[in-house]
Amino acid sequence: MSEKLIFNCTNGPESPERAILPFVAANIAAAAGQEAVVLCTIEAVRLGTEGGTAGVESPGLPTLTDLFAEFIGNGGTVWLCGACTKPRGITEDVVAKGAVIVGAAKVVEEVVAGAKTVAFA
Amino acid sequence: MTTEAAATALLAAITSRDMAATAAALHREVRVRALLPGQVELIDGSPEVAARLEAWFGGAEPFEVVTKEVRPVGDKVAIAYRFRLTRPGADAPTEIEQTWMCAGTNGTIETADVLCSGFRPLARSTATTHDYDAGSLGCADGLTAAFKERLTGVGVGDLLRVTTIDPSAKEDLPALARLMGHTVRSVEAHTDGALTITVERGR
Repeated sequence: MSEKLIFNCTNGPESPERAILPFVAANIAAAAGQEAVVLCTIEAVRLGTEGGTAGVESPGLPTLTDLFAEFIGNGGTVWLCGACTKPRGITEDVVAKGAVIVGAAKVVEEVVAGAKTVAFA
Repeated sequence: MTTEAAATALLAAITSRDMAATAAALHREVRVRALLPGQVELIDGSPEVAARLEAWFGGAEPFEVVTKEVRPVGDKVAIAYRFRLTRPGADAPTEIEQTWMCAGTNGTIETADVLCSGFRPLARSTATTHDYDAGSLGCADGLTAAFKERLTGVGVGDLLRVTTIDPSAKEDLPALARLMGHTVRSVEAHTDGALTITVERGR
């Protein structure tokens, strides 16, 4: 039985507000003791690299650098879609602490086991 | 007839694969709740229960009753059995154990909760290991299809040893194996960044 809450993030540095919001929600979940994951797909995979959150800011929201660190500190995990990291040349050696490259089967297994997913537009 | 007598008759019918007797041993509107590998199945009515048992065990050859027992549990009766069988179309024998917790009145079984192991491969000391180098195949590169094809070529109970250097495959292969009903026997990381996952084909 999986009790994970998986928050999908599809936007990267090119759209700061859309990039930060999933992390805001996921961090709240993690701070509340839930098993929270941010699943980064498409351009969001860049956020999971060393230095990938630099400069990702939006009025009224915490900086993603601070938020990312707080999320990991609260026990959160960041998954980077393998199908999205590969064409972008993102390899394991540039992945940030707390992030890991995964494939679809990993996500499917969690959902089949009962994980809940949250999609952000 | 007591519930124990009805359960004893049910056990005799199931272990002899007499589905007509199985249906007769159950209340016509029996409600069975079966916990099967990966799912819960609700089976209502004695004909439907008999049909389900026929689907599981009918036609298996050889078919051996390894153990069977009946035991009262307060006002309920438990029956349990273990079979060793080779199902039609299967290339290797399997074992299955089911336990029924039966309840009823007036000597009929009206409800039953069933716990099922699923068809388990027999432990083989001479399992064959097959090697597959998946290289850099990943999530979107056809890894799933390739992995599935390779496993199909391995006998039930045999091992497929997969080596990969793709980061997503390292996380995905164990999950894929489990989703497909197989067992991950070991995961070994290498100093060059590669990973070897050994999977036992389960079905």
